[in-house]
Order: sequence, then C-alpha cells, then structure tokens
Amino acid sequence: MSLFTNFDHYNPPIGPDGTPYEFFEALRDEAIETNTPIGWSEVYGGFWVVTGWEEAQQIQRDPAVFSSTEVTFPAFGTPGGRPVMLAGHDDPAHMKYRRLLQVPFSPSQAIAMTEYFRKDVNLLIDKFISSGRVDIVEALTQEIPGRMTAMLIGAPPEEGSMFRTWVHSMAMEVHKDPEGAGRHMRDMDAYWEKLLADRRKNRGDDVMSQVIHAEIDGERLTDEELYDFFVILLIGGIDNTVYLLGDMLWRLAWDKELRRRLVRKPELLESAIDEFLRMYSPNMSARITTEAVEIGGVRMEAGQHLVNFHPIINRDPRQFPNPDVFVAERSPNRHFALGLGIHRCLGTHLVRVEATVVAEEFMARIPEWELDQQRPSKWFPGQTGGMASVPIVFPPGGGMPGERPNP
Amino acid sequence: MLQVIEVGDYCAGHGKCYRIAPELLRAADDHGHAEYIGPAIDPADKAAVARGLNAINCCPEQALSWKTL
Repeated sequence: MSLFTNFDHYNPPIGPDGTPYEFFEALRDEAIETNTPIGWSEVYGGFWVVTGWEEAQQIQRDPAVFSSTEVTFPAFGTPGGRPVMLAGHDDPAHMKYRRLLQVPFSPSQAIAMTEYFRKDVNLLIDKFISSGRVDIVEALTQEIPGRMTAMLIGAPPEEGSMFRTWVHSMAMEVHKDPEGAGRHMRDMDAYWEKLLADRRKNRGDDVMSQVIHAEIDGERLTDEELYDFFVILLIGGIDNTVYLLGDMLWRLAWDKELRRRLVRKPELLESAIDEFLRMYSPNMSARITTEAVEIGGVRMEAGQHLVNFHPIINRDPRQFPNPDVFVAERSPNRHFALGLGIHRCLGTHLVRVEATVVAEEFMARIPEWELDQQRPSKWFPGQTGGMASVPIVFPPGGGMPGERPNP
Repeated sequence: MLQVIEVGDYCAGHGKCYRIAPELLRAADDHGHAEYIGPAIDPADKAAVARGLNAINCCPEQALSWKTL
C-alpha cells in the first residue's frame, strides 16, 4: 500500500531520532520512485498531499484555482469559524488587510528590533545558565515568539505563554478535546474584549492599536475583523518560530561538527538559517480547489483539499541535491518554508532576526551543549510541527575558556 | 558586457537576497520588495559574479536574473 494512503500530518510515525523525518523521507522516496509528486490520503475525508517542489510552486502561484480560503486542514477552530485572517483570504481581500500590517512587519522594523531581541534572549538564558541542564524549548524557544508577539500587541511579555496555549487550542485541542478548547476560547474572547476596549480608549504604538484605529476606504474595521487580526498575530507569530528555533538548537545539540563550524565561522549563519528552514520546515499550507484541474499527473476535482507539505517539498531531490544533508552554505536554496507568492509569511523578516539572534547568543554563552540522554526530545506534529521538548545538558555557567558567559 | 541583477514581478519580499548580498540589493519598500543598488558587474570579476549568483540563487520565487547592459 502507498504511504500516501494513510498519511496523517497530525499523526506521523516517529522514528528513532524522535522526529517523523524518517517517514517523511520514505514518503518522499516513494513519490520520486513512482513519479507521484502528489498523492491521495484517505484521512480526514480525503485530501491531496503535495510533495513536489515544482508542483507546490505552481499551486502557490495560482490562487484562482488553489484558493487559500481553507488554508488549514483539518480546519483550525477559529473564533466564529471564520477564515484565518490574511492567510485564509484570497486577493483582493488579502491585500486589503495585509497593507495594514506592512509597516510593522517591514524589513527595517525587524532589524530595528534586533537589540530588543538580544536583550530578551539573554534575560531568558540568565535564568538557566547556571543549572547545566534545561529543556531548551520550555525555557527559551517557546518563550521567545510568545514574548515577541505580546510586545507587538502591546501586552506584557509574560502573557506570551497564554497566547501559545490559545494557538494550541485552535490548532489541535479543538479536534482532540473540544470542551477544553471551548474553555480556552472563552478565555481568549474575554481577553480580546478587554484589550479592544482598552486600545480604543488608549491608543498605543503597538500593532493592535494601529489596526484598531486604521481605516480602509474611509471605514474602520468591524469588531470581527479586528478580532481576526489579533488571532492571526497569535497563529502566525508563535508556533512556526517556536518549532524553527527548537529544531535548530536540537540539531546543533547533536551535530557538533556543524555547531563548531558555525562558532568558528559566524558569517555562515545567514545561509545556515535558511538551511534549517529548508530541512526542518515547521509549517505546511493547505488550499482548496475552485475548479477541476490536472497537476502533477493527477486530476483534482473542484472543492478538494490539498496540503503543500513543506517538510517534504523542501527535500525534493529534483530541486535540492543531497536533500537530507545539512549544507550550511547551500546555494541555490529556494525553499518554501516561509510560503510563496502573495502569501509569503508576513513575519519572514522577524523570523530571520529571531533565529539569528537566538543562534548567536546561545552559541556565544553556551558554546558546548548536548542532548540529555536521560530525557528524550519530543516532537509535536500538526500543520505546524517541530520539537516540543529538547532537554539538554551543558557545563554549568555555560561559558568555556575564552568564551562569553555573560552579555 | 557589464551585468546587473534584474528584479522581476515575482519578487514577493522574502528579503533573502539583500540579507545575503547587501552590497548589491536592498529593500525598496515596507513590503520588502528588492531593488538592485550595486554597480554594474564585469563578468571577469569572478568574486562579484559569485556574490550576484548567490543572491539570484537564493530567491524562492526565482524573481532575480542577470541583465546584460
């Protein structure tokens, strides 16, 4: 039986390294051997699994046929069951909304936040550096994006972990424990109503204040539209980055040669971050067909779901020679980890800054670390997936002779 | 013949090119679209060609290409 048939991105087989990549590679190899870059899964009522790079490019460049209106599959439990803001809209609605966030997510704004990030990352490292043992996801990589998102929203950084809980409720808990998800959603509703009322009265310089007081064609956004903006800042800003950072530090924990090379040659970090994004793409994007179409040797009917499976697409050997090998200076490296075309991830520039700062500061302060053999790392599957727990050990105090124990 | 990098319509503002080759490209707007700011490159200047090629090759949209002046 084909590996496509029972493919379930929320339940992939986990291999001996604690990740599903052994299975992903097997699925990719089947796709190549049988010349089936797009296969059919029977799970969740049936959907197309896109594994080919060229096919994914064609799909993401053709929003008229491959609509983003069902960009999550199975659908996230968003408030009111409405489409995910921005990511779940086609143009012209998508661009109308996107323009409102262009400035705060511009390349120059991302660079301007570098030093803020650096300070925040070091504050978090300070909390565990003397211990010599930590779950790096719990203590660092899941904290950073939540705190960052809180800062963008104008909330205290500590509220970031609450935001992450809500993202999980919408993405995962809603399918496994609807009652629990309902409780979390009511908490989020209450938080949002308070935030909205406050920002209407007290306009700040945060992103939500800008959106709340913005006008499109002379009109303010509705309360529902504003809530959806809040939700997409959470969905888009947190999990992708949590998993990218966790996967990066996990890989560097066991790949000492790579880690030492990056410490010796920090100028490689820029391209290495793209290689992390390629090899451990945390996110995949779903589409729904608006009409019957033939692509990649299959015929899709109108109204069928498909998932661009970026963790496999970005290891397509037709595009990436030796796709399962980490090549820090890989070129070309045209991965789709941060989306493509009009739906290029809005937070692209922030993600790169976050990843760069985390790698720089972590390697400077804790140049030698390894996986904790007593406590295995754990993978979190889903439409956004990656390392959810990476216990590590390192010399207490972190710094090695000649290195930098404190910022 | 001297060459420059042409930024095509597919540019979606990923920003990889100007992070990799800031001496050749920069963000032209808040969306992050790229624009060429470098000097014209002599094909005999192998180092400059390599830097340009790196920028061209990193674009996921395949929006960058050489343009001969």
